[in-house]
Amino acid sequence: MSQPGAEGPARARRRFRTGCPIPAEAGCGRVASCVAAVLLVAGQAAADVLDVMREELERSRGVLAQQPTPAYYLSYEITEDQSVTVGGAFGSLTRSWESVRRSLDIDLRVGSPALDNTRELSQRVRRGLRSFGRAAPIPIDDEEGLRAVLWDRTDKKYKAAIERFTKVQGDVRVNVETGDKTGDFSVEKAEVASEDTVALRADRTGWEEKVRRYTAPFADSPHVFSANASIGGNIETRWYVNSEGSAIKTSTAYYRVSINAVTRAEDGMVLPRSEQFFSLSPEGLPDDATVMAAVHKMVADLEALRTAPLVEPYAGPAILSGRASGVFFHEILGHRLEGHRQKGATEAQTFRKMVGESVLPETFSVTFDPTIRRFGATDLVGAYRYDNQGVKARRVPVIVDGVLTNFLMARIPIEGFLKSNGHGRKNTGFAPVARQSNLIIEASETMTREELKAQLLAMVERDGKDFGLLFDRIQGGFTITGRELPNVFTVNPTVVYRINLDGSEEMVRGVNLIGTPLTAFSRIEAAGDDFQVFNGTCGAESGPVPVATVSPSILVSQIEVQKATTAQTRLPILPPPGNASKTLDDVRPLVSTGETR
Amino acid sequence: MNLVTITKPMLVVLALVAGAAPLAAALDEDSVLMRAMRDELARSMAQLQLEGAEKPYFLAYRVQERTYENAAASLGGLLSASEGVNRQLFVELRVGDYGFDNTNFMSMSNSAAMRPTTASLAVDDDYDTLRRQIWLATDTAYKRALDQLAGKRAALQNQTQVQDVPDFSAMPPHRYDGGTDGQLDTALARALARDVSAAMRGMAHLSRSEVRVAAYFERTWLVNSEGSEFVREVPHIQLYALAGAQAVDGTELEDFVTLWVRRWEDLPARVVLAEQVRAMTQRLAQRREADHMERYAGPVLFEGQAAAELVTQVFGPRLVAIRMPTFDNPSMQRTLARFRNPFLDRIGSRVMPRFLSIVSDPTIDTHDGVPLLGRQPVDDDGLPTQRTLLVERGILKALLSTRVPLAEVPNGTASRWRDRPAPGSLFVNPAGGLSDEELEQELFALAAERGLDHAIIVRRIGSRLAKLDWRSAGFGGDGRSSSVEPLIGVYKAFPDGREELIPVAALSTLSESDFRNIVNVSEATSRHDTGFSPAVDGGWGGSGTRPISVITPALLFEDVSVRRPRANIPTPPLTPHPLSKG
Repeated sequence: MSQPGAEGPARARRRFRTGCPIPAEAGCGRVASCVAAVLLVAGQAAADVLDVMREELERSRGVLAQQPTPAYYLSYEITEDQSVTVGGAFGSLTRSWESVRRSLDIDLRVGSPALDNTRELSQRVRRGLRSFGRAAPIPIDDEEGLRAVLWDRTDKKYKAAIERFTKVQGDVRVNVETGDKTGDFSVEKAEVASEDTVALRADRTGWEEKVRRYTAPFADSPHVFSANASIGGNIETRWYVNSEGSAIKTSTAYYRVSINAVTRAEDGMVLPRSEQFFSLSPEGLPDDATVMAAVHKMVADLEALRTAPLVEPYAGPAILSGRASGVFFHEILGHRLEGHRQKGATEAQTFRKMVGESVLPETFSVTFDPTIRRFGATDLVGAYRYDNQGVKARRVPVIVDGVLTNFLMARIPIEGFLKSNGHGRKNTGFAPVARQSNLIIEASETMTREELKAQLLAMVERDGKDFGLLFDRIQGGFTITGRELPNVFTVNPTVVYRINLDGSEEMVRGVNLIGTPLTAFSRIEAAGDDFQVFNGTCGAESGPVPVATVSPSILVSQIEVQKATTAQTRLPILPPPGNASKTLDDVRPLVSTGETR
Repeated sequence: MNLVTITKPMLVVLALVAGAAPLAAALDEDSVLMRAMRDELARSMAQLQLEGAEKPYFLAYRVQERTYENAAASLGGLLSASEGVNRQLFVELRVGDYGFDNTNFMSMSNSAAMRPTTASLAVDDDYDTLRRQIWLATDTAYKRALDQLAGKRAALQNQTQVQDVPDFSAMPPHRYDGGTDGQLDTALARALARDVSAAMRGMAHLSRSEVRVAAYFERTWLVNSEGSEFVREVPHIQLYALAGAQAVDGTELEDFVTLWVRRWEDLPARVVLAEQVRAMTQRLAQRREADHMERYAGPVLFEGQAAAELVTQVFGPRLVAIRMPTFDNPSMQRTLARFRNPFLDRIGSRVMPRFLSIVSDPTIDTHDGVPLLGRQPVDDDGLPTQRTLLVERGILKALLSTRVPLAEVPNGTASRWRDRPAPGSLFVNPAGGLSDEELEQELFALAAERGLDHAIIVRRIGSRLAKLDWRSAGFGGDGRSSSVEPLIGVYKAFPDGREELIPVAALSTLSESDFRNIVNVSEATSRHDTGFSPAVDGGWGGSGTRPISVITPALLFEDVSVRRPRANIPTPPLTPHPLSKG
């Protein structure tokens, strides 16, 4: 037994140069000014980190392969997340912080690819079981620290794996076999690649000024009850090795400007409006003029929303803008094409048996493509080079000319789709499953906005309705893909217009878009020529991951809306301080003539 | 209390070192934040009223600004770090009157109304933005208070309150200006975490190690409708060095070094810190090889840190009086009545032997020249803090409380910390006491009476704050079986001077009533810093952990049961440690 202070093996200590990315000597002030502070990230030692990970992996594997229940697969993924965020409200700074965090995820499998410890247990909740457990903090800038954590966590992971495998074996004996006999894990080709560490380029002082500027116009409106802007940048650097020989290092930058404001109608309804800008580089963020135009449009929309009429539940024709249809496809189609959802006994498996069948109009094709980083002038945040299981990212056409051809695959095989197609994704601390990347909708025939509107009005008249709806902006949504509950989706719009028979457009409020997937797709009639990007974060069982959609406006012959929830709280009792005399008219001149929908 | 006139730049030094409690007529008149708070408070008290509803009768704004840096490192490498600044507003708004208001009530059906109203405030001193944010938060607080008051009235229509105790006590205004331009250079946290963690390199017997450093400068402003105001500053640096090892039989062991100071210069030199950390790892190495003790019942001597932790974990939580709210659900009321502090019924009764007294004193700055953690010139209600004699020669005299009266404790002790009472520095004062040798002799004499050839001395007890895994129940995996954390420095002591280390042990049962059976104490006291949490006694509420200093003698208990932790032991690692040879 070694003693404290005992010398280690005759391995020369390597002091890595990945270093603390935000040096202590930067000396940030109270409201810090760290323009250059975050620039200092050495990227030279990446190979060393991978080497040490690989050495430790081999050392552990050697021992674990000799156990009565041997480990057949082992992977390590270290993620460093370095971020700077500043926030403002009503023209002032509210927060300013930066952080760096490094964590380790381990995938350790015992049994065999046909049946291993990750198999879903029949009586348990599916989502809870795919979790890796909490990611372990790990130092990477010192070899000894790196080795020590890898060793300790691998041992704990192995013990947890054999315990669970025993349960899985018992469960398999007791329960009837499900239809799918493809096993639990696919064998994939080893990949070796290394990117330089990307430096976080955060002008914190400049960003602090910007959030003050971006939120100032909201202070002039007496009806805005919350107005926050944040600017943030983060670098996600990942080191990945597995027992198949993969060794991958990637480093990706994400930058974002997010503005959220809320007003309330006289009836208490909370009316949010938000603008998000994402980019893979700081230069890709919009300039001040663009953001300010969006802010002024937000102020104008909020004022209009307050007094906009409520819409009653309705089923009829509608147009979804590109942004809105992107979220629509993401929720209704994308989640149902995630491979593992075709396998679980509790999943609804909407499209499982529809491969080769027509699910959309033949003018529509749908592709998931994490290899493209940009559409027009906008970066796509669903881009990556390797997924979280060491599989190279690739373009995956899922619907070609309206016909379903493929699913999004992680290393969880399903009948007919035995290999991953590079969509095994996760956030730290979660086990990867198939997740979406950049969802691209293509249409072989498109119409101008005017033509779409004309066709909508024709449908309205045909159906004997008074109006159709235009969903311009969407906040988000959710969908249920299991069997226990009805397979409905809900999409929450923030800006909706009523298009009257005479062609006039009027802002309305208070509706959510609802439906069931197959019916909704059967009602898609046409696509516009105005493709728009929606960048966002998708949350599911493997944690939040960045995703994007590129989608045209679509015309739907029938969509259903239900009333949105509403708070019953009264408006503030006292007028805004020092602003009591302000009226709507004082606010209106602020509205820019910039962006329209 | 001294009235001192001090120029601002001097204030930080004097307030921290000399304990000045400055009273100023003009309190931070230049502060934009104070002006915004005062103006919105005045407007709200005068005008905030819904038709047919009561106006607020009391309103307080407390703003807490924190400039912080947190860092964690292991073996010299960084695990995580963050730094930033933020401001949080807490609104306390009461409708009704001091006798009966919207508080001291919990509704099982409207939990939203019970939430304290907080808001993130601008860190820029921008008057208009601050006013607007305070206005909106006040409006929310007022509506919640009206909901709460209506719910309370409805619930009490069908209940008769056995005790008619006012909901709140009126207080004369008090002003305290502890505002300076002081700052804490938080940027040193990362380097400190790395340096101290590097002291644990090259040790194959450690399965894990981590050093966490948190440095923050907390500035708090308060304005209330009774005219009280304060500006208070607390710089704070805390360091936890944590290490874990697995004994030869697999038992998981942990130990730690903690330090809490208010200034960087109060930290020991790095070499001294490194030495403390190495000594801790040495203790772990010895515990790994030590033999377990299955069971022991007899006299136990708690020394140093163990005595301070025992007081903080077992006796301390009984020294605060928290009012149990009225519930709209009587069965919930009965369920939570089980958590009632038994000391509420023991004021005037013996709770300790005659030779012990306990004082909570937030007004004292230093002990043997070292700053005390519990020092606080005003509490979170803005009241001047005071020395409170809690136990006098064994008799319970008082419990710490806030402005919320209890039937048993009608008068407050100005002890509010966040939303609960908490002690300042706790002094366990012995009258007399024995020398260390005499105390050990008595320990062995008591053991001999029971026919035991040895006794037990406990020198270290685990801390709730210093754990490698936040969520773990206890070091030995058995922390829940007793309200005391695992004993991590336990020795079988023999009359011939021999001592045998035990890897880890647990106290079977030990409660506040056992403190009456302390048979003797040391004449010398020692000081230890720890975290006080009112929630740890299984109570229904309480939030956060207040850093306090505890000064106590060694405590000799006549009859205590100590045993091996009962949880199953994980098997030792399959793969050898990367540093081990072979």
